[in-house]
Amino acid sequence: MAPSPSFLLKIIDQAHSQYAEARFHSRKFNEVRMGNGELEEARFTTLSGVGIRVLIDGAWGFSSSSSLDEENLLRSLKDASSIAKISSRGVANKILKLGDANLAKGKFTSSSGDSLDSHSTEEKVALVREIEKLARSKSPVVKSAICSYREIIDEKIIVTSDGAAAELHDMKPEFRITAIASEKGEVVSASESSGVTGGWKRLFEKRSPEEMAERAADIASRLIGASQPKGERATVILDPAMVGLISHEAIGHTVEADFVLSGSVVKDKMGEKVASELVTLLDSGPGSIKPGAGGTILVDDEGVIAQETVVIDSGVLSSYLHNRETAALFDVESTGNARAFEYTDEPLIRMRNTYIKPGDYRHDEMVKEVHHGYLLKGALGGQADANGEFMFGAQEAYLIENGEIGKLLRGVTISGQAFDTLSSVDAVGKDFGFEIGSGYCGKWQMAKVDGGGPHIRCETIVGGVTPS
Amino acid sequence: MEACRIGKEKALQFGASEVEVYGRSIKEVESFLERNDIKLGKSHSHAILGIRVFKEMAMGFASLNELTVDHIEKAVRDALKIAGMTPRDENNILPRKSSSIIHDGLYDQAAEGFGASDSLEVALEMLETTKSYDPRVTVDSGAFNSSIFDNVICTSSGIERSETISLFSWAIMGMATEGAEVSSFDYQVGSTHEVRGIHATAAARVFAENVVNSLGAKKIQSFTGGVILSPQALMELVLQTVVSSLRSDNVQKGRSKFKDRLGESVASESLTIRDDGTNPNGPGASSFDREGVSTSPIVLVDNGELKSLMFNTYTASKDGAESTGHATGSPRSSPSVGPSNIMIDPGEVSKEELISELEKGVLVTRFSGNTSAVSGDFSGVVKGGFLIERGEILHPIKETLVAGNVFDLLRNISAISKEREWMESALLPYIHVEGISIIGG
Repeated sequence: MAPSPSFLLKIIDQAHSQYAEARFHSRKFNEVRMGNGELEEARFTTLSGVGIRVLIDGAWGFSSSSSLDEENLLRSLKDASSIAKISSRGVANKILKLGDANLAKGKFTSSSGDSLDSHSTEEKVALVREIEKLARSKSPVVKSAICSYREIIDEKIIVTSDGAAAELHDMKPEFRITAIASEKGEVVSASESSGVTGGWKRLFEKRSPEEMAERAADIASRLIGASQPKGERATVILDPAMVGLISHEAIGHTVEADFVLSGSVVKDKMGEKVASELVTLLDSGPGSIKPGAGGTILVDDEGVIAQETVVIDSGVLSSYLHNRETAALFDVESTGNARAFEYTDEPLIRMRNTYIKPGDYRHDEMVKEVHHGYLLKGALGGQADANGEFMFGAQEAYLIENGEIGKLLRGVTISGQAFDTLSSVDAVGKDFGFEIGSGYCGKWQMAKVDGGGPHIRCETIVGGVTPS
Repeated sequence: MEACRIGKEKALQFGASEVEVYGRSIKEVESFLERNDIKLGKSHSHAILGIRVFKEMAMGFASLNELTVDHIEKAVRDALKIAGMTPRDENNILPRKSSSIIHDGLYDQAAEGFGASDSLEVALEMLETTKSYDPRVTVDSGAFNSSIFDNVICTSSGIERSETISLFSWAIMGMATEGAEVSSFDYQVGSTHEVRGIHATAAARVFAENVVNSLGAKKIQSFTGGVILSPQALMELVLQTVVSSLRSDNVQKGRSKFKDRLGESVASESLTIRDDGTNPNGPGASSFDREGVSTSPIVLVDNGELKSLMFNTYTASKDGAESTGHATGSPRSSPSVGPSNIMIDPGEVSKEELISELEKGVLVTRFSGNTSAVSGDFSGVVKGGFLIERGEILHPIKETLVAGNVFDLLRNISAISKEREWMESALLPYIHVEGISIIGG
């Protein structure tokens, strides 16, 4: 049973602190995973409790409790307070105030119709079983497959000593199918996935599970025997998944205000031109451009309404991503980017749905104008550095010669300096999609995030085995 | 243990044919660093129970953290419900009771008295170390954590074991800045089971050295040449793929290049890989695995020859083998397969000799890229790397990619250093590999 907001407020009222917050978080995480006809995982898990954070003498203290009774919660409050006092002895720059924020009050539901609960566990298990089998049946070289369905069902109550009192309900299902092809000692894999905020229908809105299985099997079987590209600097067209990844990894992390303060590459660049004027990049809590993105939050874990934050406005750096602490340091409002993964985690500055706004190019026009380059599809994960250097992989890479899409290559990585890459953007597509919602981002703790955009054309280093 | 026994009894009462209840309670204090300062202090304790049931050879699993009888009952029913829908599998069996030896060196009584003030003190020392090393160093973030774990298991096959493990761990990450130049990001981690083994300031110093040394990085021309991988780069570039390929579940499902290769040569003769869950110097040590099977040392690759895979009870049953004590995972999921402390045997040359004998190549301190655990293809950026010519380190490099295949790389190891370092739960040397494609920016 969830505690009431007033009960949690009564607990933090007893804190002798500059600020206090209590967050009840009950999470159900269920998963079914099968591989080669065998069950790999079938679990129902629950995790619930209250995380309490206090600010005393300019320092933060955090503690949590899985027991919801008054005695245990007061003990957690006491633990958080005493550790804040201890920490304050070591803090050089004491936190004097928190930034202004649009504090949330009331109920917020980010799930859509066709609730996950209205689909039985039997149906979910059967789906995973059938789709895994289907992927293996599509091509003689696909000898192995893994299929998984996961759902995260969250209920939260967040109260703060300065007036937030929000009740949140949220569902995030994910579906993934990986096909593994092998022939003559060569082994390759390809995955298709969907991860959204909302219900069952939304999870399969873009592609049915059968289509995903067919696509994964088709790509894996075509990757067998595909060669790797030459290493070179080249024109690339990135699909929405790759654009989502570059927006998240290469740009998004450098504009997290805690990272900016540490000296990220965009420190002191506010108001400056950092990208092509064709580029407008946002990090959005609600993801209103296309509802249901996997990183959707309506309220952050400091009880602040999650904003649609324009990070780069027509090429000009216009905002960092803030929690209340950094908002005060920059004298702006919090953008609602403080997120905690589970009740045992304290809120940190994290992204939500990070994307580039669509432009006016048609996909065929974009390809036609490329004399020599690559079309890159499907994000394989990556990493960015404090200096803006990034690298990430593409599942499929097609050579483009004289405006024609040609052969499929594999093992392709692109890298470069993030803002140089964005400055080289010369075409932004009309299309749009959030495409990386089945992924997680790690920064001391995990977070569900999404990213996307239209197709864009730019220049990067393309990595392969043979140096040019 | 009491909650475990309740879970076991309820499961048998409600119709499970076999049941395993694995519990872990954690008591921890932690100090976080951010922006060259103390960020937050944290202290809490919690417990999680994972219940795995078999019913007519079908598996179901549930976990919970509210350990009342009502909640345990509900979790048992959930696990049984899901077992009613999953396929029967004759390999769904539990291990039998074996030894109950508890390894020494994994628990330090002094950890009980290690409080928030002690944790803060170490965190401050880490900050002070970087500050006094060079003012250009910025600690983006870091942490010092002191934890005491109680792992408990009780099964219908007669296993009842418990163990207390203390673990102190630390991490520090950030960069150096000079004018408009921002260096490569670097991170260092470390851990120990004993208070006297806390060397967090040493990690802070290595971090500071690395970021300062990587200032002034230059782009280089592409070439094919030698690469020296640091223990950290070896972990990031090679180890994950090798470990994934040594997992029996991946081999059985055709997700490993080591399928049907037992007894064959898969790497250079200089390479020997072991796993040792009994080694108290590694954070992955424990007396028993996620299924209650005792851990023991094992040779996986012996002078280049594939000797053994890592098995849990399920995968061992499938191959008609014995579990090697490699059931892994938390109480929040059913047991998987994985290593405890992976170790590569040291070689005969020093790290300095590796460098001085390199005609032309790159020292890779960190690797940031993609490696396909299945095919072994890798491609990624060299972080904190240096150009080496005629045995001399010339300068730090930037925007440099390396690409190739991990399995080819294993065969092309030409030398391994005497020095080894712990990288999380892996003990790794420096290695020299020839014939790597190095792509300049």
